[in-house]
Amino acid sequence: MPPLIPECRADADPDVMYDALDQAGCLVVHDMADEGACARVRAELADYVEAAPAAADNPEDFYPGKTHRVVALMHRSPTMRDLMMHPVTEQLGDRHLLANCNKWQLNVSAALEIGPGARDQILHREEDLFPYFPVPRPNLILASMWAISDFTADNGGTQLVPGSHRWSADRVAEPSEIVRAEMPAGSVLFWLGGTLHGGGANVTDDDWRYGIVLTYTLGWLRQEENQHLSMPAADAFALPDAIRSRLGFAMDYGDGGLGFYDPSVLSASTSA
Amino acid sequence: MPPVIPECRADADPDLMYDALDQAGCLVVHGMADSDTCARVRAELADHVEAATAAEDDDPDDFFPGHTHRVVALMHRSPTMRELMMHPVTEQLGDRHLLANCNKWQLTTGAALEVGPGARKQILHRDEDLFSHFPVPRPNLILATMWAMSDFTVGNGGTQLVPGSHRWSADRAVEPDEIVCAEMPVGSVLFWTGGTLHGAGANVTADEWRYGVVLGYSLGWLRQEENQHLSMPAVDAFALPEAVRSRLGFAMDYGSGGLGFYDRSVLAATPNAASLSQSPG
Repeated sequence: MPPLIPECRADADPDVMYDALDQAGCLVVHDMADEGACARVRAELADYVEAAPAAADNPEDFYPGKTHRVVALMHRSPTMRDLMMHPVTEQLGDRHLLANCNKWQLNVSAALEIGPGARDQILHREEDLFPYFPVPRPNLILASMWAISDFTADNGGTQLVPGSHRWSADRVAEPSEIVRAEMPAGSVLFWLGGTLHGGGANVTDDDWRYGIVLTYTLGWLRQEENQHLSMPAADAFALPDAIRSRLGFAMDYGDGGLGFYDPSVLSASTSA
Repeated sequence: MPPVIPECRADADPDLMYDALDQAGCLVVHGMADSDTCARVRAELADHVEAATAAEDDDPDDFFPGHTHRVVALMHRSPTMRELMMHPVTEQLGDRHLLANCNKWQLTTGAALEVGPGARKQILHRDEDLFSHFPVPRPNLILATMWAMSDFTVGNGGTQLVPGSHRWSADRAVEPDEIVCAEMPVGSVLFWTGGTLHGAGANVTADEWRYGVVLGYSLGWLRQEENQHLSMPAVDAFALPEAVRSRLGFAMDYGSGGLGFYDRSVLAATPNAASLSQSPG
């Protein structure tokens, strides 16, 4: 029997949701964003996506070709900034990460539009960023993929290996253990930092698969995307406290004031 | 026999230096900065130190004792400390202590600490207590340094250390005779590892201020204790030599997967950061 990705609606009980996510290593949650929100995200990022080169493929590259990739989304898309703290994400993030930290944070943001002809991405674990920890690692990362367009098995729907978050490092995924996340626009795929996954191949003629990945990590780790250099400081300090804190700008990511700074430095400069 | 802090000169063999540091958990290196250099650091930070309030009333429950001037953001405020931050001895010891656990290490915190008459001793602690996820004794996460900008003595607040405590279990308590004070002349540097118990000493002098600058370094995949990105305007950071900026946490390669990446065009597009686009790297 092929493995399954559990599914639920955004109004499901958070404990039940997290149990499913924790057990399978992945979970699709429907009705996270309505059409209007997805359209706003597209509009806010349209110029950047258009300007992003979709390079010819180099099979050695981690990132497949024929894909538009745009980062710094917290600066570029106010709508994604709102969705970044969606109540379902907050619930799942607390359950997955708070046992290992006082405060968790955004780790990376990227819009990924996979075009016709793009190959399968190499399967990997988000937590491979932290090779210090042996596999299976402690909970370090929670990942989410927002479907801004429909995701299908043919247009690049994310490949996943349910259960692989509990595997030892040397276990290789069999083809029959890989599933592709199919979901309509507005749904979100959650997966754990230890779950093997990768972008899917797009074998359609003209169907671009539009997804936005947001991952979250323990507050005492370095952020994969340097959020401080992905937004002018003055803009960051104009954000509500809760958002700025989730973006990595707070002073209390650990007991001893991990992340402190003297606010007078930037307030004295013309930039803030 | 009371424990001893090993000592050497800055031109000693780095392997021997690190062996001593690794074994005792602490090491004093003499001749790291000359008196002119120390005078420049004092001058660069003078306004900030003067403006820093030294709480008259000590709160015994506070981690930081009163009667102490404390100034941070040193990489922005003191070009001389920025140079000393990458002193060759520190580079050698940092490579040896940290590179086994990361691809690249970084500055984690910086502070000028002027301990005044009447200051009590600080509670003994480990710098790696910042990362409580790891059980004690922890893997090597941090290397700490204290630059003596004035002489350090038993009476004026010389750092208290517990040699060997970096290998202790969490529940082992310190006996009074296991604590030693780092006495060293201006221009020397006390190194200690992130697992070594230490704390500022009490200043029982009538009128002597003990001036030290602490710089801590950590694995590149950890959050920096002092947010270096908010401790210096970005334009200034991008005007620094690449090696310095990288040690401060502004590079894109703190892990194999591009840990710390960013899109340069974001800050280059801001009006006050025109110099970004001209900076190499």
